[in-house]
Amino acid sequence: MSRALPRSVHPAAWWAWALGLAVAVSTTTNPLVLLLALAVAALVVAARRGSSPWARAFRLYLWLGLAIVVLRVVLHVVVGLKVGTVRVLPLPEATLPSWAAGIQLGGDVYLEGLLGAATLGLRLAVIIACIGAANALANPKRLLRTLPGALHEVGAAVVVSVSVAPQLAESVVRVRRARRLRGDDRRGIRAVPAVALPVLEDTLERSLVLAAAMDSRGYGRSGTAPATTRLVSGLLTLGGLLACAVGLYGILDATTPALMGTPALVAGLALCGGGLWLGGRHVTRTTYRPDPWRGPEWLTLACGAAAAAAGTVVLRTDPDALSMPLSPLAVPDLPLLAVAGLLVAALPAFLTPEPPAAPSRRPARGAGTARAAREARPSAPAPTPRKETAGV
Amino acid sequence: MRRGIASRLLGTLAAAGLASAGLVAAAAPAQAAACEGTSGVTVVVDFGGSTQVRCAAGDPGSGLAALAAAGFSVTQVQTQPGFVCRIDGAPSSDPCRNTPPTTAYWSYWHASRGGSWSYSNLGAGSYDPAPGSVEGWSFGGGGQPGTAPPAPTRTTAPAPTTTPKKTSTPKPTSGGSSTTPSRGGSGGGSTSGGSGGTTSGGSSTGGGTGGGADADDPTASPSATRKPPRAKASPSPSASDSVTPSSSATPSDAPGDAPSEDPRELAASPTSATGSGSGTGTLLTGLGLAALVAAGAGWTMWRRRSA
Repeated sequence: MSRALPRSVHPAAWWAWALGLAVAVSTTTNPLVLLLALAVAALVVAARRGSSPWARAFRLYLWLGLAIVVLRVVLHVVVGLKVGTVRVLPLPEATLPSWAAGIQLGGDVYLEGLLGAATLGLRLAVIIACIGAANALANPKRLLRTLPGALHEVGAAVVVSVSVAPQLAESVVRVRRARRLRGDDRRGIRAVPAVALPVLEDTLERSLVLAAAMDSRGYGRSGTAPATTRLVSGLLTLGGLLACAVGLYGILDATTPALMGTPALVAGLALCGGGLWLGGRHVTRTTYRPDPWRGPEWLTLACGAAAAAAGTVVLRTDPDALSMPLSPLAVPDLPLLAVAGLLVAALPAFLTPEPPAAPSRRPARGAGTARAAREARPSAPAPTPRKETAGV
Repeated sequence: MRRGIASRLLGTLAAAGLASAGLVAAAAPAQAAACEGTSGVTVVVDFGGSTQVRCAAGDPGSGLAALAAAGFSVTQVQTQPGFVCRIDGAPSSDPCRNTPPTTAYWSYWHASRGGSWSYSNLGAGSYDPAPGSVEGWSFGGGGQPGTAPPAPTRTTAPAPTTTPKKTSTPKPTSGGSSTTPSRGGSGGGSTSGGSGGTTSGGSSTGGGTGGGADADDPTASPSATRKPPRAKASPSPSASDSVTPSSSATPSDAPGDAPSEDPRELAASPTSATGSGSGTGTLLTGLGLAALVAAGAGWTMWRRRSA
């Protein structure tokens, strides 16, 4: 399958894979399993990320995760409840008044508490890395197409807002490259006046191109539904959301009657689905370059589900293996089933088709100068809408 | 109970002298009955069906330390270190991953001897029970333990319930009675001064001067006189002890050694002993696997970038 033609895997498949991996991660505080899951996410991102600007955002998620771990450990040292026997850092403890009982300000730091805080922080960091992997692998604009038709207005707004920042960054890179080609080497704060205006103009222009592309495919139109249909679909959706809220509350609160739990949630979801179907019936959109859902998509989905299932099964059968043993302190176990599930989740790195090569990163020789010259004049009309922006 | 910062500094500085002092914690032996006089902290654990009353001798620095010193094994909640989930393996149905539900958890109570229970407004890791008081643990929806706090005993003679071996232990307590501080804190060190940490009970047997202990309440000092010899106790057969933590009797042992074991260490030593061989292997395997996959990620990235 790796010899298949390069194409991007359906974004929904990547999201399902990442959520499965996140579910597997959320079952454990075992640092070995967590590190393996992080490595698996990094491997798949390294092998199958596309060329869009946000494909390079995975590194930022890793930094965010590191900041979370550090913050968690620092908070543990400052205000955490220190439990353990192996003292690693003797610190004085501030005596707090009785109304602040339960908060331990300072105090000796023990290895057990430190490791506990670090593993809990690591778990959150790896979950965030999983979401970051989904962001790096799946193009959010392409994901927009899989939204139900009735939600396309919300979806369009979300896509425009999430793509502003990466587009801004890419504009900065392009404009600076064009300026360097023209011999302007100003850096730092002095380069801002020369760069800011072209960047702003470029971003605005790209947004307009995106808006025009979406408009030409049916997005953003009010639709042709009669007033009664719109009213009915709105009521269905609203009632469904309310029922969903009630159902969730009923599930989480054990004291509510059983009827308020799962039945209300299912009924609410059904109402929502009905409302969305009714509202989307009158919305017509066309698709440019449709994303097919074929074998690789099923494979990706199955790999994520396998990781989640393995984690859940181990949690049911051998929960101690998934935890970091803190009292007494010991080396964590290596639950084979969970490890196997995570390794299966790494398979999409090899078995899915490669993403298409970046068209703009490596301009062909000779075309580079023309392209740079075009980019140096951001006010000039773009010859053709960029495939990426028009690809919705 | 809460020491001032100055004395804590002294205690921690003294304790820092012995890096691994926390490991060789010399908590007092467990005693399967209420403590005598004010010699220790009586721990009452109501399992729902049955109730166990034991004594954590000395001055445990926290409720958790008192539980451990009384010979109860404690499993903490995985995501909330310090939150008691199981005591002596009960309830076994709780996976101890998240905090237990409010209908089935271990509630934490304090009382004076012969007094009445009062719900603790501090966690077991933060509360420092005074010697002579009673700690109560009750499983359920937050009701107080089914048995009243044991009334104070007036017996001065050691009345061991499980083992004759401990006759040597309570002696200093009855000799240096509970009100007169008899400081023996020279040389072997300031045990209870260092143990002022809110979490690790009588665990820090600080070397050096007994300065930390001077600022303490006098009731703590009897334990100071008793602890130093025990801190040097070599680990004694632990497997049988960890199975029945309530009995500190190890018949085949030298009298001085057997009661000195810290139950936490008892619990720790079997696992670390059996797990040390495969533990390192597991650690290396897991880390190696993760490193292998991460290296694969790095190589893939390098190859795609240079392609």
